[in-house]
Amino acid sequence: MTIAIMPVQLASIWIAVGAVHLQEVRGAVTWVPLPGAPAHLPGVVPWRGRAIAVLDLGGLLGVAPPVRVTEPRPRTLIAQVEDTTFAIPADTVREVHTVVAIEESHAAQVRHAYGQVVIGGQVMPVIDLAHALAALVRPQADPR
Amino acid sequence: MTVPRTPLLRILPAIGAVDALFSALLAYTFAAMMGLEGSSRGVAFGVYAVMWVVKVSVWMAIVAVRMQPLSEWVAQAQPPTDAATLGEVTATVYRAPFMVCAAYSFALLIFYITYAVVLYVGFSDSVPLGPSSLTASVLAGVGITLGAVDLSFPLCEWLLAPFVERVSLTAQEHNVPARGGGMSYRARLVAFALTLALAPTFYLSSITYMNDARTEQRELVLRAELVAAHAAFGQDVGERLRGGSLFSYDAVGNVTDSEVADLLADRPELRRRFETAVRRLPSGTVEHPREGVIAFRTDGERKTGAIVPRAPSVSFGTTLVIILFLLIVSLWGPLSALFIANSTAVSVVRIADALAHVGEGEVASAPKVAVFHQDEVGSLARNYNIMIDQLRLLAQRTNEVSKGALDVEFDILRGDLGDAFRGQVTSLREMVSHIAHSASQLAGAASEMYAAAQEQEAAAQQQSAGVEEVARTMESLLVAATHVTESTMGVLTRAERTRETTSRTSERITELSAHANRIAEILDVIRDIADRSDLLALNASLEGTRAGEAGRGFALVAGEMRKLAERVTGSVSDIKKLVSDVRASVSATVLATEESSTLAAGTTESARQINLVTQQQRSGTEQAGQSMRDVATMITQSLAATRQVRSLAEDLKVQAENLNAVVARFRLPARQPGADG
Repeated sequence: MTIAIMPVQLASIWIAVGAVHLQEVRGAVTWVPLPGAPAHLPGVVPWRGRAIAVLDLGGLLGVAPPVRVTEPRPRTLIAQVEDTTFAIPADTVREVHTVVAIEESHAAQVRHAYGQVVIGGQVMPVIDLAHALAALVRPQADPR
Repeated sequence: MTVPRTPLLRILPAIGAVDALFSALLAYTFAAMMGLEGSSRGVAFGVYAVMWVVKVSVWMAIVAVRMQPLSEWVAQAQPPTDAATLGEVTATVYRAPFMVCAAYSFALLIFYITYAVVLYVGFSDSVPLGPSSLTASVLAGVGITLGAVDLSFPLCEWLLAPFVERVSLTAQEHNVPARGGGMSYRARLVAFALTLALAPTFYLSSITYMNDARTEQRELVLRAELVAAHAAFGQDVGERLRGGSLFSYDAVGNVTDSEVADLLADRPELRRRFETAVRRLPSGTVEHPREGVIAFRTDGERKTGAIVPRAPSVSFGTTLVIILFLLIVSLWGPLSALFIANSTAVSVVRIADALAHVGEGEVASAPKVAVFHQDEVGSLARNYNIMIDQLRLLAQRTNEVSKGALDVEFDILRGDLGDAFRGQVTSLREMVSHIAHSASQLAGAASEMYAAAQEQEAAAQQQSAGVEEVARTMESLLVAATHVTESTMGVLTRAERTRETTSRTSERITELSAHANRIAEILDVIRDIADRSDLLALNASLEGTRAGEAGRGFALVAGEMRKLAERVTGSVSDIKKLVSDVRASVSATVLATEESSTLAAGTTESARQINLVTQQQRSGTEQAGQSMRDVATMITQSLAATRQVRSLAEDLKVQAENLNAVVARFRLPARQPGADG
C-alpha cells in the first residue's frame, strides 16, 4: 500500500502531511486574528467564500515560533479533516511524494507524528493532522 | 797735405818761386819797355840776375831772423807753453805776414830802382837809357811793389795758416793772449783793393811814360830829320823819315809829288784836313789818328810838306811790352786773388766747419778755431771760441741738470742766456719740488684709491656671486614654477576631465541604477510568476494525487514544474540579491561618484587656483629673475668699472711711483735755514 505525502517546512524543520487532507496550497495569506482564540488557532482566513481557522502547526508541534499576523508565511496549506477545513501557514511546500511504507520507529520524537519518511535524504516525521486537530479540540482526550 | 815742420821751408821756397817767375817776366818787360836789344839786353839781364840773387838773399835772411822764435818753437817736440814763450811766438806768427810782405816788397822796390840806377849810371855805354827811364823805373817799381804786397801777404798768411792755428790753439789752451799783427778786416780789404788797383796802374803808367819818352825821342829824331831836310830842300829824305815823305804843294793844297798824292788818295780825311789848313795857315800840322801826320811849312814862295803815314801795325817792341804786361797781370791777378781768398777764407772756413757742429747740436765735438787774423774775423773766431766755451759749460751744466742735479749753479754763465738758464733751473727746482709733493700725494691717493677699488671689487664680486646665486635660484624657481604651472595645468585638465568623466559616470550609474530597479521589478514579477507557478504545481500535484493512478503522470509533471518554479524562484532570489548588490554598489558608486565629482570639482577649482597662483608666481619669478639679471648686469658693469678703476688706480700708483723715482733723481739744493716753502 502506498501513501501520498507532501513535505512541508516549518521554520527549519521538515515534516510530512498526508496529501489526502490537503485541499489546496496557496501563497501567503493574511489571516485575521480572533481575540480569545486558542494559541494554535489564532485566527481565520477567507477561503472559497467562507472563513476557516488558521492552525499554527509549527507552534503546535513545537518546531517553529508562533505565527504572527504581521509576518505571513509564504505558503498556506488548506487542509480538511473530516468536516473541518483549516489553513496551516508554512514556509516551504514540496510536491506530493508517494511512499510505500512509513517507518514508525522514531515517530514519538515529534508530537502528532505517527511515523517518518525519507525524501531526498531528508528524514521527515509524518504528522497526523486529524490527531493534531483532535488534540486541539480535546486536549486531554488523547494521551499522544 | 804734409805740413813742413819749419815755417821757413814752407814760406821761402813758395814765395821765392813766385818771385823768380815774376822777376823773369819783369826783366823781359823792362828790356822791351826800355827798347834794349842785342848786347845791351844781355848786360841788363846779367845785372838783373845778380841783383835778384842779392835781393832774395837779403829778404830771406831778414825773414829767417824775424821768424826765428816761431821756427824754434815749432821745431821742438814738446813746444814750451809758458806765457812768455807763447806770447813771443804768437806775436811772431801774427806779425809774420806783415814782416814777410814788408821785407819782400821793400827789397823788391829797392832792387828795381837800384837796378835802373845801376844801368843808367854804371852801364850807360852798353845800356843806353834815357832820362825818362829812371822815372819810368820808379813808377814800375812802385807798381811792382804794390803787386808784390798783394801776392806776398796773402800767400804768407795762407802758408803760415797751419802754424798760426797750432800756435793760436795752444795759446788759447793756456789762456795766453794773442799779440801783434793787428789789422782790421776792412783795412785789409781796402789795402788789397787799393794795391790791386794801384799796382797795374803804376806799372801801366810806367809803360805809358816810357812810351811817351820813346815817342818824344822819335819826334826829336823826326824834327832833326825835318830840319836836315829843310836844309837840303828838295831832297827826298823819305827813307830816313821811316816811311815818311817830303813833298811840295800849292796854295790850295795840291800835291805835286805823285807818290805822296797816292798816299793822300788813300787818306782822304788827312788830305781834307791838310787842304783846309793850307788855305788858312802858312805853316802847321794836321793829323789823323788812323791816317797819319802832315807837317807843312811856308818859306816865302816855297811850300814844303812832310807826311808820315800811320803804320799799318803796332811795332814789335810795343806789342811785346803789351803781351808781357798782360801776361804779368793775368798771372798776378788770379794768383793774388787766390792767395787773398785763401788767406781770408781759412779762418772763415774753420769757423763755418765748427759752426756746422754747433748747428747739428754737437757742441762737445765742435772744435775750437784758431785766430788766424787779429781782425774782425779773428774777433769772430775769439767770440766763437768764447761761445763754444759757454755752450760746452752750458751743455755740461744742463747735462748735470738733466741727470737731476738741480743744485748746479749757472753763475759762470753771463748775459741773458745765463739769466734764462738760471731762471729755468729755479723754475725747475720749484716745479720738481711741487711735483715731488704732488707725486707723494698722488701716490698716497692712488694707494687709497687702489685699496678702495680692491675692496669695492671684492665686495662687488661677492655681490655678483650672490646675485648670480640668487639668479640661478630664481632660474630654478622659474623652471620649477613653470613645471608647477604645467603640472597644475595638467592637473587642472585632468581634474576637469575627471569631473566630466565622473559626471558621465554618475549619469551612467544613474542609468544603471534605473536599469537595476527595472530588473528588480522584473524579477519581482518573475518571482511572483514563479511563486504562482510553484503554487500551481503544488496544487496540480495534489490534483494528480487525488486522481489516483491516472493522475500519477500529471503529478510527476507538476512536481517537475514545481522544481522548475523553485529553481526560478531561487534564481530570481539570487538575481535579486545580485541586483540588490548591484544597486547597493550603484548607490555606493553614486555616492562615491558624487563625492568624486565634488572632489574633482574641488580639485579643478584648486588646480585652477594653483594654476593662477603658480602663473602669478612664475610671472613674479620671471620679473624677479629679470630684475636679478638686471642687477647682475649692473653689478657686472659696476665690477668692470671697479676693475677699470682699480687698474687705473694701479697704473696711477705705478705712475706716481715712477714719478717719485723720476723726481728722486733730481738733487735739489740744500734748503736755506728759514727758507719758506
